[in-house]
Amino acid sequence: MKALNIEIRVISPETIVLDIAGDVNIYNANDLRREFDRHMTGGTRNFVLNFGKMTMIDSAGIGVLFTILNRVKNLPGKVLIVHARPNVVKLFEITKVAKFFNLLESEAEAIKILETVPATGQN
Amino acid sequence: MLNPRKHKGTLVLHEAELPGNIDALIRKAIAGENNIKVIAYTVIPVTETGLRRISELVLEKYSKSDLLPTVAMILKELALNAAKANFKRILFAMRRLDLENDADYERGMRDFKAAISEEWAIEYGRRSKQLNRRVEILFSYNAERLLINVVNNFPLSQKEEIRVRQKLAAAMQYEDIGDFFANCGDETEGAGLGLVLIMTALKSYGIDPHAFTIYVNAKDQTVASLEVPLSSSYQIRRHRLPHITQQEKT
Repeated sequence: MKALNIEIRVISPETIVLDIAGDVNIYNANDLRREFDRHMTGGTRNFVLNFGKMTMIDSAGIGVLFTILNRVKNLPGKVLIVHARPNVVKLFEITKVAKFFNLLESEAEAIKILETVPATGQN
Repeated sequence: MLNPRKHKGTLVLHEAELPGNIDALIRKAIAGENNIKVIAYTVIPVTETGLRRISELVLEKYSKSDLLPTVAMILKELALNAAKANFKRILFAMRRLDLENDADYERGMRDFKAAISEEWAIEYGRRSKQLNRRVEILFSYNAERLLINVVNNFPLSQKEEIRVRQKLAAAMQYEDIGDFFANCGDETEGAGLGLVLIMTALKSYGIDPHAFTIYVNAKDQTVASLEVPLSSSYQIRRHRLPHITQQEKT
């Protein structure tokens, strides 16, 4: 059984939601990177990451998140994180990763941000 | 439970046992302040869960549960990194590549990064076990401090040692992960991001980053060592024993 599962929901031609379930780590971080690459090549510039079923993430996974964050800034686009579990929020806080990402309560909140604020490259 | 055993005051658990109900064994060891050693080959999520549980129960004993997120995060990074180091050696040996040769190293690492996946890790975990390329995670603790040593049963090569020293020195300087990316760009695999996160997490809790060290011990094992102060009066080894820690490869 795989430790990581990623499902994609297309919200609009420019926006997708990634439902990430399981543990993101050095062994599977490339799977996440490939999903980002595939959709960016296809024209996606806004990524909503649903962490609701994500149990943990290590430095390799965080590295992928930063890479995509840096790349969408130039499009411009956005990376928004929703439903992060308390242990992941805590990890983001103690490693100061939290200050670089929007951690939101709900997907609706994320979609609203993407609808009302045109992507400016400011994530 | 496969073979949980205790000898010389140390509870030894194997990776395959960690999904089982090990709480009673761990609690008994902790009550007697006995060391706990976990022997792993792949470091999969159940390994991480087991390591986290041991940390949780040790910290709970000394009313330091607030340190758990930091300790668990660092432990995960170190254990995965140690398994990865074993896999790297196996891959280099299979392809007859020399870790000390720059061209071989570059080629080997390119192949390594391209090959890495969950299935690959399971296969290389099996090979690690066959070749006795183990990762040992040792918890020793008292009311003063929790010491976690993550041990590979081989020494760093000279070039690896230089790379580790450089990454550690750089990680100490970065304010946060933003600094790291500003310096390294997007090519972060193997660039020391894990070390930067470890340093940042330690600083977040007011722990001296020098509490984390990497060195080769007298048995020619590579040791990533973390001292977690549990009492306000505890001084880390680097401050208590500077003449010894200077000889270690920090």
